[in-house]
Amino acid sequence: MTLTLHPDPQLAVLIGAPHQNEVAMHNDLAAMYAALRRRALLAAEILCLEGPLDTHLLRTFLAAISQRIATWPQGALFLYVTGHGFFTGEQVAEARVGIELQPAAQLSSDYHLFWDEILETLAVPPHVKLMLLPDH
Amino acid sequence: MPANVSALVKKAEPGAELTCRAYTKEFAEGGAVVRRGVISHYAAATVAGVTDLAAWIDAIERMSQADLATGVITPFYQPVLQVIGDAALALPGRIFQFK
Repeated sequence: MTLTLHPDPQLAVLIGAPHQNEVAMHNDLAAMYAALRRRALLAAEILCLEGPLDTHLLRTFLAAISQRIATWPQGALFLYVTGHGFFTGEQVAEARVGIELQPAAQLSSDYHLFWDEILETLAVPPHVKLMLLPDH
Repeated sequence: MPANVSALVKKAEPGAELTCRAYTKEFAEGGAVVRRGVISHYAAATVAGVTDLAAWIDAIERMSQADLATGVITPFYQPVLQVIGDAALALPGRIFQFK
Protein backbone atom coordinates (compact mmCIF):
# COMPACT_ATOMS: atom_id res chain seq x y z
CA MET A 1 0.00 0.00 0.00
CA THR A 2 1.34 3.41 -0.89
CA LEU A 3 -0.06 6.54 0.59
CA THR A 4 1.19 9.91 -0.55
CA LEU A 5 -0.33 13.04 0.83
CA HIS A 6 0.56 16.67 0.46
CA PRO A 7 -0.48 18.32 3.71
CA ASP A 8 1.25 21.48 2.55
CA PRO A 9 -0.22 23.91 0.02
CA GLN A 10 0.20 22.91 -3.58
CA LEU A 11 -0.51 24.47 -6.92
CA ALA A 12 -0.28 23.26 -10.51
CA VAL A 13 0.25 25.86 -13.21
CA LEU A 14 -0.43 24.76 -16.78
CA ILE A 15 0.62 26.97 -19.68
CA GLY A 16 -0.19 26.34 -23.32
CA ALA A 17 1.60 28.58 -25.80
CA PRO A 18 0.63 27.66 -29.35
CA HIS A 19 1.90 29.37 -32.44
CA GLN A 20 -0.90 30.57 -34.73
CA ASN A 21 -3.60 27.92 -35.04
CA GLU A 22 -1.87 24.95 -33.44
CA VAL A 23 -4.23 22.72 -31.49
CA ALA A 24 -1.79 20.33 -29.81
CA MET A 25 -1.15 22.65 -26.86
CA HIS A 26 -4.84 22.98 -26.05
CA ASN A 27 -5.20 19.20 -26.16
CA ASP A 28 -2.12 18.87 -23.96
CA LEU A 29 -3.49 21.23 -21.35
CA ALA A 30 -6.86 19.49 -21.26
CA ALA A 31 -5.20 16.10 -20.82
CA MET A 32 -2.84 17.30 -18.08
CA TYR A 33 -5.67 19.04 -16.26
CA ALA A 34 -7.74 15.84 -16.29
CA ALA A 35 -4.77 13.76 -15.17
CA LEU A 36 -4.03 16.05 -12.24
CA ARG A 37 -7.67 15.96 -11.20
CA ARG A 38 -7.36 12.16 -11.17
CA ARG A 39 -4.53 12.69 -8.69
CA ALA A 40 -7.15 14.39 -6.52
CA LEU A 41 -5.74 17.84 -7.04
CA LEU A 42 -8.57 20.28 -6.47
CA ALA A 43 -9.79 22.46 -9.33
CA ALA A 44 -8.82 25.47 -7.26
CA GLU A 45 -5.28 24.11 -7.12
CA ILE A 46 -4.86 24.14 -10.91
CA LEU A 47 -4.33 27.37 -12.84
CA CYS A 48 -4.29 27.40 -16.64
CA LEU A 49 -3.18 29.96 -19.18
CA GLU A 50 -3.33 29.24 -22.88
CA GLY A 51 -3.71 30.95 -26.21
CA PRO A 52 -1.74 33.57 -28.12
CA LEU A 53 0.63 34.83 -25.43
CA ASP A 54 3.24 37.52 -25.22
CA THR A 55 5.83 38.08 -22.54
CA HIS A 56 3.85 40.83 -20.81
CA LEU A 57 0.83 38.56 -20.38
CA LEU A 58 2.90 35.61 -19.25
CA ARG A 59 4.95 37.69 -16.81
CA THR A 60 1.77 39.16 -15.35
CA PHE A 61 0.34 35.67 -14.87
CA LEU A 62 3.56 34.44 -13.26
CA ALA A 63 3.70 37.49 -11.01
CA ALA A 64 0.18 36.73 -9.78
CA ILE A 65 1.28 33.20 -8.96
CA SER A 66 4.31 34.57 -7.18
CA GLN A 67 2.05 36.69 -5.00
CA ARG A 68 -0.14 33.67 -4.23
CA ILE A 69 2.76 31.53 -3.04
CA ALA A 70 4.85 34.28 -1.47
CA THR A 71 3.70 33.54 2.06
CA TRP A 72 3.88 29.75 1.83
CA PRO A 73 6.32 28.48 4.47
CA GLN A 74 6.56 25.29 2.41
CA GLY A 75 4.59 23.55 -0.31
CA ALA A 76 4.74 22.32 -3.89
CA LEU A 77 4.42 24.16 -7.18
CA PHE A 78 4.16 22.24 -10.45
CA LEU A 79 4.81 24.26 -13.62
CA TYR A 80 4.01 22.66 -16.95
CA VAL A 81 4.56 24.39 -20.27
CA THR A 82 3.61 23.07 -23.69
CA GLY A 83 4.72 25.17 -26.62
CA HIS A 84 7.87 26.09 -28.47
CA GLY A 85 11.36 26.52 -27.14
CA PHE A 86 14.34 28.53 -28.19
CA PHE A 87 17.86 28.99 -26.95
CA THR A 88 20.84 31.27 -27.21
CA GLY A 89 24.44 30.14 -27.10
CA GLU A 90 26.28 27.49 -29.04
CA GLN A 91 27.56 25.24 -26.24
CA VAL A 92 25.53 23.39 -23.64
CA ALA A 93 27.39 25.11 -20.81
CA GLU A 94 26.51 28.58 -22.05
CA ALA A 95 23.06 27.84 -23.44
CA ARG A 96 20.13 29.91 -22.25
CA VAL A 97 16.79 28.27 -22.90
CA GLY A 98 13.34 29.78 -23.01
CA ILE A 99 9.85 29.76 -24.45
CA GLU A 100 9.05 31.26 -27.83
CA LEU A 101 5.51 32.53 -27.43
CA GLN A 102 5.03 33.54 -31.04
CA PRO A 103 7.12 32.90 -34.15
CA ALA A 104 9.85 35.49 -34.41
CA ALA A 105 12.78 35.65 -36.74
CA GLN A 106 14.90 37.40 -34.14
CA LEU A 107 15.11 37.44 -30.38
CA SER A 108 12.21 39.58 -29.23
CA SER A 109 11.42 40.84 -25.74
CA ASP A 110 7.74 40.60 -26.71
CA TYR A 111 7.76 36.93 -27.65
CA HIS A 112 10.77 35.26 -26.04
CA LEU A 113 11.00 34.55 -22.34
CA PHE A 114 13.98 32.75 -20.87
CA TRP A 115 13.54 30.13 -18.18
CA ASP A 116 15.78 32.06 -15.82
CA GLU A 117 13.41 35.01 -16.26
CA ILE A 118 10.46 32.75 -15.51
CA LEU A 119 12.09 31.53 -12.31
CA GLU A 120 13.02 35.07 -11.35
CA THR A 121 9.42 36.25 -11.85
CA LEU A 122 8.01 33.33 -9.88
CA ALA A 123 10.39 33.99 -6.98
CA VAL A 124 9.52 30.66 -5.39
CA PRO A 125 10.15 30.78 -1.63
CA PRO A 126 13.14 28.64 -0.63
CA HIS A 127 11.15 25.98 1.21
CA VAL A 128 8.60 25.56 -1.57
CA LYS A 129 9.50 22.78 -4.03
CA LEU A 130 9.15 23.69 -7.69
CA MET A 131 8.72 20.92 -10.25
CA LEU A 132 9.07 21.79 -13.94
CA LEU A 133 7.80 19.91 -16.97
CA PRO A 134 8.63 21.75 -20.19
CA ASP A 135 7.37 20.27 -23.44
CA HIS A 136 8.97 22.51 -26.00
CA MET B 1 19.14 25.72 -11.12
CA PRO B 2 18.07 26.67 -7.57
CA ALA B 3 18.18 23.86 -4.99
CA ASN B 4 14.41 23.79 -4.58
CA VAL B 5 13.79 23.25 -8.31
CA SER B 6 13.54 19.88 -10.02
CA ALA B 7 12.63 19.17 -13.62
CA LEU B 8 11.72 16.45 -16.04
CA VAL B 9 13.41 17.49 -19.28
CA LYS B 10 14.56 16.13 -22.60
CA LYS B 11 17.94 14.48 -22.44
CA ALA B 12 20.44 15.81 -24.93
CA GLU B 13 22.11 13.20 -27.06
CA PRO B 14 25.84 13.03 -26.31
CA GLY B 15 27.72 15.11 -28.85
CA ALA B 16 24.55 16.37 -30.45
CA GLU B 17 24.28 20.00 -31.40
CA LEU B 18 22.10 22.26 -29.31
CA THR B 19 18.50 22.14 -30.47
CA CYS B 20 15.05 22.73 -29.09
CA ARG B 21 13.21 19.72 -30.38
CA ALA B 22 9.94 18.66 -28.88
CA TYR B 23 7.54 17.16 -31.33
CA THR B 24 3.83 16.93 -31.80
CA LYS B 25 2.16 13.86 -33.21
CA GLU B 26 -1.32 12.49 -33.72
CA PHE B 27 -2.37 9.87 -31.18
CA ALA B 28 -5.53 7.81 -30.97
CA GLU B 29 -7.30 8.87 -27.78
CA GLY B 30 -10.82 7.92 -26.76
CA GLY B 31 -11.83 6.93 -30.25
CA ALA B 32 -10.51 10.11 -31.84
CA VAL B 33 -7.23 11.10 -33.41
CA VAL B 34 -5.77 13.98 -31.46
CA ARG B 35 -2.61 15.99 -32.07
CA ARG B 36 -0.49 16.15 -28.95
CA GLY B 37 2.93 17.11 -27.80
CA VAL B 38 4.74 13.81 -27.57
CA ILE B 39 6.22 14.43 -24.13
CA SER B 40 2.89 15.80 -22.94
CA HIS B 41 1.03 12.76 -24.24
CA TYR B 42 3.14 10.33 -22.26
CA ALA B 43 3.44 12.58 -19.22
CA ALA B 44 -0.31 13.07 -18.87
CA ALA B 45 -1.06 9.41 -19.57
CA THR B 46 1.17 8.24 -16.74
CA VAL B 47 1.07 10.95 -14.09
CA ALA B 48 -2.09 9.76 -12.36
CA GLY B 49 -0.50 6.55 -11.12
CA VAL B 50 2.94 7.55 -9.92
CA THR B 51 4.27 9.07 -6.74
CA ASP B 52 7.49 10.89 -7.58
CA LEU B 53 9.64 12.11 -10.46
CA ALA B 54 11.66 8.88 -10.66
CA ALA B 55 8.53 6.79 -10.93
CA TRP B 56 7.09 9.20 -13.48
CA ILE B 57 10.06 8.99 -15.83
CA ASP B 58 10.04 5.19 -15.47
CA ALA B 59 6.36 5.04 -16.37
CA ILE B 60 6.89 7.29 -19.40
CA GLU B 61 9.75 5.11 -20.60
CA ARG B 62 7.74 1.91 -20.15
CA MET B 63 4.72 3.27 -22.01
CA SER B 64 6.75 4.75 -24.86
CA GLN B 65 8.77 1.55 -25.17
CA ALA B 66 5.54 -0.43 -25.43
CA ASP B 67 4.25 1.98 -28.08
CA LEU B 68 7.52 1.66 -29.95
CA ALA B 69 7.25 -2.11 -29.88
CA THR B 70 3.73 -2.03 -31.28
CA GLY B 71 4.43 0.60 -33.92
CA VAL B 72 2.43 3.41 -32.36
CA ILE B 73 5.55 5.58 -32.52
CA THR B 74 8.84 5.36 -34.34
CA PRO B 75 12.21 5.81 -32.61
CA PHE B 76 12.19 9.40 -33.88
CA TYR B 77 9.31 10.25 -31.57
CA GLN B 78 10.36 8.28 -28.52
CA PRO B 79 10.92 10.73 -25.66
CA VAL B 80 14.28 10.42 -23.94
CA LEU B 81 14.01 12.28 -20.66
CA GLN B 82 16.02 12.92 -17.55
CA VAL B 83 15.36 14.22 -14.08
CA ILE B 84 17.32 17.26 -13.01
CA GLY B 85 17.26 17.80 -9.27
CA ASP B 86 15.45 15.63 -6.75
CA ALA B 87 14.13 12.45 -8.40
CA ALA B 88 12.35 11.52 -5.15
CA LEU B 89 10.29 14.70 -5.19
CA ALA B 90 6.62 13.84 -4.69
CA LEU B 91 4.26 14.81 -7.48
CA PRO B 92 1.36 17.11 -6.65
CA GLY B 93 -1.94 15.59 -5.70
CA ARG B 94 -3.33 13.18 -3.17
CA ILE B 95 -2.56 9.64 -4.24
CA PHE B 96 -3.80 6.47 -2.63
CA GLN B 97 -2.43 3.26 -4.13
CA PHE B 98 -3.28 -0.16 -2.78
CA LYS B 99 -1.02 -2.91 -4.07
